[in-house]
Amino acid sequence: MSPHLLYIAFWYPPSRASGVYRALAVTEEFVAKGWDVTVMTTEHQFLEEEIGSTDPSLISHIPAEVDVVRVPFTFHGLGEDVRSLGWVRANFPTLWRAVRARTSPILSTISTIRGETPEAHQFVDKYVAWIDPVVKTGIRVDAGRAVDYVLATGNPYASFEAARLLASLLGTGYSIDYRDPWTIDVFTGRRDNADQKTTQTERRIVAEADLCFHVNEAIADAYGEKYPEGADKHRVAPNGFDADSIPPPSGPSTPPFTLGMLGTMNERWPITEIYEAWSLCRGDLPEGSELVFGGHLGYFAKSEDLLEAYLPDESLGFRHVGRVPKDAVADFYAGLDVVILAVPGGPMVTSGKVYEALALGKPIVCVQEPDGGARRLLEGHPLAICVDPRPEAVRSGIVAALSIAKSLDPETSRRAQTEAMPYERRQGIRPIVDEITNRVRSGQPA
Amino acid sequence: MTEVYTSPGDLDPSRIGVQWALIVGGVTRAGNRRARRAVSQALHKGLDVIWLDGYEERFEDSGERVPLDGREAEGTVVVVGYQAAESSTLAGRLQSPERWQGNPVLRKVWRLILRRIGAVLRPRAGWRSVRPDIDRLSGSTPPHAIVYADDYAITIAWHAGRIWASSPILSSFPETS
Repeated sequence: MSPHLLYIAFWYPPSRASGVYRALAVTEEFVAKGWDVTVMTTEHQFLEEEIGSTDPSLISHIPAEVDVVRVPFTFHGLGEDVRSLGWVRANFPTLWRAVRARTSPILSTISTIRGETPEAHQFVDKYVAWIDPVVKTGIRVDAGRAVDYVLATGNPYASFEAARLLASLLGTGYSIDYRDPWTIDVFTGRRDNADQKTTQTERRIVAEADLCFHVNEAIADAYGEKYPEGADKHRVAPNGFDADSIPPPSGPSTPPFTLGMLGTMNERWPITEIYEAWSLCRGDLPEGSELVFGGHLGYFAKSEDLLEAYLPDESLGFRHVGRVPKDAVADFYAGLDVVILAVPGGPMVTSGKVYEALALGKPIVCVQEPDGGARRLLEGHPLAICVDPRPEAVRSGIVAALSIAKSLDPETSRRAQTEAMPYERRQGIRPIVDEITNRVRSGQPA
Repeated sequence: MTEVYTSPGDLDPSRIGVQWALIVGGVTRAGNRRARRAVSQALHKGLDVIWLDGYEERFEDSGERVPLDGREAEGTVVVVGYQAAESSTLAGRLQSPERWQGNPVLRKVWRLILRRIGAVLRPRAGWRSVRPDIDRLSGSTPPHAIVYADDYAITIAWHAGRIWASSPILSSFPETS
């Protein structure tokens, strides 16, 4: 009989969160290995109404063999008694929410000290309220078909605690897949100023887990140092690219040229430097050349207004084409002569998009600090130029990349694509599937 | 379904029947989706709808818009689009990124301070924009429900609730009622 995996993945289609592609690949690979997979995720309504963005085209990528169980979650206290609100709270609700968000950890700590907090889960995570429904639902799933193993992916890290509780109740083992570090700042590498309860919770989760997977060595090493008692359980399962996002090999570019970026922009992207570099070199480029950005402005719908202010005027040869559905990614890349990667942070930040860029067979300008994780990955790539996030350096990178683009021969492009094959997404996550499968088949104790 | 679009201050209460719902659409994309769903639900319940819509549609929305489901219904939807009126208020100006483009220093000040002040003032600005219409409706039968779709909509819902004390104020229609 096939083993049964209970996979806790809060972000799953139709969510378009960056972690969705990894979660999809994990489920595909487990199914391919002969597992029955039940995914516990959140509801469509939450994604549509509270997150504010989805990619319905991703639904078709869920393997038909996977059972998807949707466990409700909401940020809103539905049924809030609006009529009972005081004048200030009713007339300035956004101010009230902001103040409450800032003060709730302090109030929670005070309540805990006074022994008043009724909540079972004391650590700080916006998704804590999802834990109990997930645990209850997981027990119901197990009653229908016995669960052999629990795997959770975070963020949200509440999923890790749900996995720990569920595994303990069901008597199975569990592993956790960190797509980003929880209590370590991914951008600076410093230990985050997480409160004591959160650190204690993470320590307990790591201690009881069989294995902890991370997307790169830098994060795995940092966790090994943070929790040395379980240093041998940290593994690297890198992100990768999806083959259907890669267009055919490219030939030499002809003017006008199109440079482009794809992804979900955030405030940390070195975007201002890229725009300044663009305006520095644009005058020397053939008429009609443009810089194109495809993707959302921030993950949450509420971030759009803020990030819109970062975009330059369209009259400056810049175009924002909006969201690019997963099924249209290959076409977007096919239209580019040069790919620009805007990557913030240092060694821990590899960015999922770098794997896609590796496999495109097109010139790449990677803009990141010198010690950046994405730059390290691109070392030795024949078409990649890595530059510091300074306008003059980015300008030089663009000029050099265009020079490569103009003389690019299809064979070089094809070779770059072939050499990137080890970074195909399912290859990267194979250690997760193999290690858990071996563990369950060998009856290794949890 | 009959859809009627009107501006703040121009609402004609005779457009709606005795059974109606007040949907306050807020200003965010998520709020707009929630509001569209609530409008559809109200139509399915046989209600007329007054939809106070403060959302400015963006071009990225084209593939993601929640359709109004209930076009076959008999009801009337009166959409009061208050975005334009609101954007001329101080709160609207403070929230608009376009106004602060061009000068990097101004843009930074906007990002750090001004837009936050705008977010604090905006719910009240929305209420001020639609208040004449709510006052005009105050003589009508109370709405079946007042539905607010996001945080920005709470203010209008709260003031409307003071006028119609017997109408429930909801964040969405219960699925089963």
